[in-house]
Amino acid sequence: MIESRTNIRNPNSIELVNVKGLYKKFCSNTKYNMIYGMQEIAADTLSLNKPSKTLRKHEFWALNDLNFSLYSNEITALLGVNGCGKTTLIRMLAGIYDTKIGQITYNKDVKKVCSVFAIKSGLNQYLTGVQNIFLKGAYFGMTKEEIEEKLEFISQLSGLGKHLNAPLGKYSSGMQTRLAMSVAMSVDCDVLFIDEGFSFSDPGFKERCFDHLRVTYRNNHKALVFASHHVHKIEELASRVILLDKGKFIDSTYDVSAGVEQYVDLCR
Amino acid sequence: MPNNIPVNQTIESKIFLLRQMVNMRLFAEFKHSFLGWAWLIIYPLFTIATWLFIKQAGVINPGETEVPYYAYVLLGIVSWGFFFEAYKNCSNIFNNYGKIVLVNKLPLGIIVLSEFCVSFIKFLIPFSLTILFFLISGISIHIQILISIMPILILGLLGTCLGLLIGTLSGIAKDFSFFFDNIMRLVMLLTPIIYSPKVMNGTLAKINFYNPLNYLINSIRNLIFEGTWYEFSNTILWISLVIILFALILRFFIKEFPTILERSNI
Repeated sequence: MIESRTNIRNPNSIELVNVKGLYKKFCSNTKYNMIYGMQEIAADTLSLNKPSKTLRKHEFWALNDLNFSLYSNEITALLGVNGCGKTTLIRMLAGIYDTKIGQITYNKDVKKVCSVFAIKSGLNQYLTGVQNIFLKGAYFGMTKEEIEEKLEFISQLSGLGKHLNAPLGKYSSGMQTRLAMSVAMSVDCDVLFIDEGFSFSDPGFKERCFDHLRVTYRNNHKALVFASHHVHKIEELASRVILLDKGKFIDSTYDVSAGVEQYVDLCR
Repeated sequence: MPNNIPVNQTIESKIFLLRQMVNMRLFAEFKHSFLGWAWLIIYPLFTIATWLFIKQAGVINPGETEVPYYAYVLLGIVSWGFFFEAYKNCSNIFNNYGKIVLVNKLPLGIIVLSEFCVSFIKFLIPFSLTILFFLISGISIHIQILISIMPILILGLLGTCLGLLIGTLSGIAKDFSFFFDNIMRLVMLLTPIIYSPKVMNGTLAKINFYNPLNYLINSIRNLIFEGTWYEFSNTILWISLVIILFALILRFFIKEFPTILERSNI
């Protein structure tokens, strides 16, 4: 069921993340990338590294002066054509990439941040489904007790039941995705980032996931940010859209349909 | 200003993560095998059998040693194995964990600790079997074997810190691992592992004067067989230097890991 949505921010929501003057540059040439990398490491070691907003040869801005906030009880869709900086932004927000220019500030009440990228990454083909649940849960920062508490939920959500005792190598690709996604859904975090994580084709599983995400992240002072190219999924789930293009912030709107239209225009 | 991105791991979850990672690294590969983890015991038995065969054949004369040559070499090889396993595991951290760290913000200290633990467990099995074999063969073991844990751990730390350094640099350019992996083979031949330090002279003696492996491996052997340190003051100096070096390189690794992650083509 799609909830009714307004085009303005919920006045009761609070700021969970603030992004200010965020930049990230990458190098498109392998040789220059190695040279700049060595220079950076040497400068870092000697404490001489001063982040610069000047681009060197073969460098480009993956993110260019981003300023925005993420609020509680919002499900934000991060939209933009391939290479616009969605994954880089999520990696920086999740603390995987360093922030050298700009600032990311989390509300002090945010205790746990999780990110879902290549969802099947970290799974082991030789281990059983249950063993992989414990492994993946540990990667997400869960304790053994927390995972044991969530086993039933993961089993129900994934719909894998008796298959959970079989080695993962015997699972189909879709089953592996369901297992990994269910573990990610079971993590009790304040801000969840999902990058292209909804590529599963099982409609029943998709419904169960979306229902869980809506219930969890549209309430409880939590926030979900996801990047996707699936227009229908965005309209079904999101309460807000942030548009990026070539690393720049284009727009942020609570009118999801209008945001999606803008995105479709960008793609043309 | 520093960012305040929340840390996702508590002490309990870090300990659980460490256990999961060690279990996976040690046992997952054996799941697809009839004998399973028994291979962890079979591998070192092969090494013992090989050196027993060489002893019987009498093809190598390494110089004068106080204990039977095969025992001397076995202990040297097992010790070198710990150093090299720690080096190899840590220099491959980007290959083994790069993709996982790109999707989950994992505590880097736990990754390093898990690699050290895996190397140590893989060392303890052949080490225990070798000591057991010595006792069965009638070779006396000195009570100072208990002290030898110190140079053993330092040997692992040395392998870990060299691995972290080379692994970090080769995350930017593979030349470092190509070069140093070959250097390691040379170091193994230069270090008195299969020959006695008594036969060292000239350039070899000069090189080994600056080779910490020389002091650590010989101290492990001497403590176990004779109950004495090998060149005590030099060994203690190297132990101190390795501890300092490890602290510096671990800091360097943790600081530079995100930079390497961005620049590597994982």
